[in-house]
Amino acid sequence: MKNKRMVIYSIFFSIIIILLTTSLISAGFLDWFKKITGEATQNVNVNISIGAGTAPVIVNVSGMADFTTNQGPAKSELHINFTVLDSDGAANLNITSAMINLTKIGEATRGNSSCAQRNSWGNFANYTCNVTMWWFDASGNWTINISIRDLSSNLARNITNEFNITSATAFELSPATLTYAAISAGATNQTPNNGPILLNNTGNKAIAVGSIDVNATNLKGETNSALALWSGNFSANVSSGTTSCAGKFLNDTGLYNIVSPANLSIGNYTANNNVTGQEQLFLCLTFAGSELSQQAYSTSSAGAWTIRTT
Amino acid sequence: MIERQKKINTLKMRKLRFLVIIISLLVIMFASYISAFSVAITPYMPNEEIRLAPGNVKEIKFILQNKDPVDAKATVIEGSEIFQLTDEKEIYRVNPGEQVPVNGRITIPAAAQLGQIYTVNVEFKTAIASQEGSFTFGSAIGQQFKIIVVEEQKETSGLSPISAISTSTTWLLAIIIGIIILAIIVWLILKRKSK
Repeated sequence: MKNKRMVIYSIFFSIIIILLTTSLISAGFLDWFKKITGEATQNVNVNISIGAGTAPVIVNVSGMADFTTNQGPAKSELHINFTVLDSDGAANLNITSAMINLTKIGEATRGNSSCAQRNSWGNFANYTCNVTMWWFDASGNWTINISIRDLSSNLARNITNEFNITSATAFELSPATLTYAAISAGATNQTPNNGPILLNNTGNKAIAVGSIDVNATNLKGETNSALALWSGNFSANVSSGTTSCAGKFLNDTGLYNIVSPANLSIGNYTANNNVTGQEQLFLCLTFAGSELSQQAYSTSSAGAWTIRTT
Repeated sequence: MIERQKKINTLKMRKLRFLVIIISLLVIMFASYISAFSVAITPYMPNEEIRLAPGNVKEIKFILQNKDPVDAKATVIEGSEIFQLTDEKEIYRVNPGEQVPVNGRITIPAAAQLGQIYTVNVEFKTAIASQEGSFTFGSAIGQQFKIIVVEEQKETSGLSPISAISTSTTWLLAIIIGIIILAIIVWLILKRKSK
């Protein structure tokens, strides 16, 4: 009877010991309880071993704040750091295999297939990846896809990190000064000799129809400021020639006048096709008053015109 | 006398030519000038909307960029009842290659109704000096976003409720096992002593 009891107690004691010892190692019995969470879906990093040794693991990706790209046409360099653990030693990592891809649905993938190893110690190594981004890369959530292999071609991949590109409203206009040849008093439909004004979208936000407007001022005489080329006699349009003279009349009310057909798409405006990321504004002086005298007329007194996007 | 007059005329002509060249250069300079401006908003707001609860305060930033040195004036056009620019200045110097932050604060009134939508519109305008004899253009950018008043989101810890439960289960098991082992050891010691 005593022996029977001892056997039962021994078995019970052994089970407890097994339970305790297995919970101390990395994939312990108690991990069952940790991993059975009842969550409907869960992202799990999968390391696929196809060679000898243990596959490396990407253990840390540097925290990413919102990223604001440079205004076009300048490129932007995005720096992402990550740490890799290889239980076979950091020397077992294939340094040249570290790569990164930044992806977003509907966008071109940005990446770098030659990330640099910054330093290593023991089983760990730090890497830095520089990725070139462009001003027309869409705002919103981008996924960071990092991978590295060891010398046995075992792959480590991490796709659990994301970052945001901020929304940037940006444009440039040129020329910023228009010039006219001599205009006679009473003249009609005069167009500048260095127009049109070209707008380039240098950001990643599309400017919709109705979101480009002009605040116009009177071009007053520099000798006799009582005379002026009145802003209400100017017309703006997206079409050239005399059609530009039948566009939106720009009244000097202190308010912005919407040049409704105008818009700016997102894109690489350096294609310079007047379509991708570009818009042209044609101005026309529809009437120069017959009362005007011979003198210079400019915006120096009433202030520059302002072209605005919203 | 005639020669002197000729000299004076020649000098006058030279001065005039010089003036014409200077004016032409100025015209070319102004004509080639490009007005460029960029305003980004951070944190990123999907659909240019942000959701906040009554009584919430949220700091946001506009990032200004320009290709040439420029002064930009920031003005709250709409929504000043809940949004303020918090810097002590309203004109910002933007140099090429810089990203200049403009700080702002959203303050949702404690009495704001759930579902209420506020619109904030901030205008950034470049200050362009218009020279004599020129017909000059500057640029402005209006940054608009909406604030939707929603119910207060409860603070969540790093662990999901389910993982928290599984962690506490592990601890409970460890404690029970510990007690059992202790009991067995005590029992064995007592048994040996009784022998």
